[in-house]
Amino acid sequence: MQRFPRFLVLAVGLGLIALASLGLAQPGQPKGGTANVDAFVARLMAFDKNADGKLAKDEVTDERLLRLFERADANKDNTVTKEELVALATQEVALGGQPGGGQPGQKDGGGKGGFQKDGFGKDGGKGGFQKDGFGKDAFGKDGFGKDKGGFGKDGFGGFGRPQVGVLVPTFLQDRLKMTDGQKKELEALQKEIDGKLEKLLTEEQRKQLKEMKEGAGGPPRP
Amino acid sequence: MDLHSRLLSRRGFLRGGLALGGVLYTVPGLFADQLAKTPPTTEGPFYPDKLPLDTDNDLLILNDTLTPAIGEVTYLSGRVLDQGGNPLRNVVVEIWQCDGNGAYLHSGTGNANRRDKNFQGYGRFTTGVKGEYLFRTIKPVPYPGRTPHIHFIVKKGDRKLITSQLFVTGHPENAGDGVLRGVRDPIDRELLMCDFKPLKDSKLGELAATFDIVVGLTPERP
Repeated sequence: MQRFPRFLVLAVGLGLIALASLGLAQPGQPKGGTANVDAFVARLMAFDKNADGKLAKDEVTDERLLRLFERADANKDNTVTKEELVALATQEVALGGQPGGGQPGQKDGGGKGGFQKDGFGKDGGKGGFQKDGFGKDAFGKDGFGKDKGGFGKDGFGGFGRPQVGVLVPTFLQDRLKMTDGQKKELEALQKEIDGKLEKLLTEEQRKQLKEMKEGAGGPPRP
Repeated sequence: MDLHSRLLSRRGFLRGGLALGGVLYTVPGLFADQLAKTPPTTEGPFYPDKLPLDTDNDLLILNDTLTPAIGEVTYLSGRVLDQGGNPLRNVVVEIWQCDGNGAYLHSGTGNANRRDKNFQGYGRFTTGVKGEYLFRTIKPVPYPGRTPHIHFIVKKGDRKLITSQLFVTGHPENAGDGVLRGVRDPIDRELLMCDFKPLKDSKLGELAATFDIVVGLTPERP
């Protein structure tokens, strides 16, 4: 029987190892990047060089993680214990992967919050973005969804947080190619609604709304 | 003897051993103190479909016109590193983001009628010996449905080493952003955060932002 060429064996070996290394995540990160509290804690505790069960600030050699360290350091003693890490992890892990609280456009629950793997939503029909970002109809198959007024759970077609209080934002007016007549009527309607809303809300609620509006794409500050 | 030692000890496979060393460099546990890779995110739909004539690293002034773009002027800098902390020189960093009115340099952008013609929208920089890059741009603002962010790509020749986005630390819209929530591991999300702080000694209220990018390198073939 012919001797199996050694170089071939080793080439295959190298190839296999190369493939294996591609499948391996970086140190401490579980395969697939699954976020859970244990993985979070383990990943940070990998910095515990002196293995004393807690992290000193100078042990965190990756500067990019110092902010996280400071957030974890609840009692500000420049040391982060496992308990402090678990507490932070529980908060932060919960934020990942879930549909956003302020994401309308989810007629049937949406589930994925309008954003799929590629961040822009495979199913434009649910009001999320299309795969290529905006698709033919930026608002999904059914346009504005049930509530044409622009309010309501699915009024915004998955555009993220609704601009509360604004019936039809200007960029949408342009997209819809609204006539001047329509725009005038809309303006009057908006004024009416603004007035009524103001009467309805408390001082505190109005303040909160104002802050949200500014965070959601208001004009840039000078 | 394990496979690693067996392969490295064979004189005839020294070159292969070097390649193997490169492959094993990514195996967790074998080399401590590896920097966590900057996580990738979607490119999104608005990578410029027609690159501007001016593709330098100053996104504020277009073709020597003196009218600056609208927004909070920011000097964005950092280094491109490998996981061992070594600088990557001569790699190209590209950034793109929407302007102060929420319009991208792309034919399909929202807010197209309000596009700031004095914002370049896209920039490019080739890293120096220390792996450093620098851009002058504006602090990112929200785009409909998205929290403020700046897109970036790092290329070595034609090969993309990473495509991702950086975000503004602590921005209230972050919690609701679909792309950011799609980054499941909270540590990975942290690695995409960038502080925008007042630039020391700036009389114009300019900001400084530092953002290091850590890339994993696939091994060269022997």
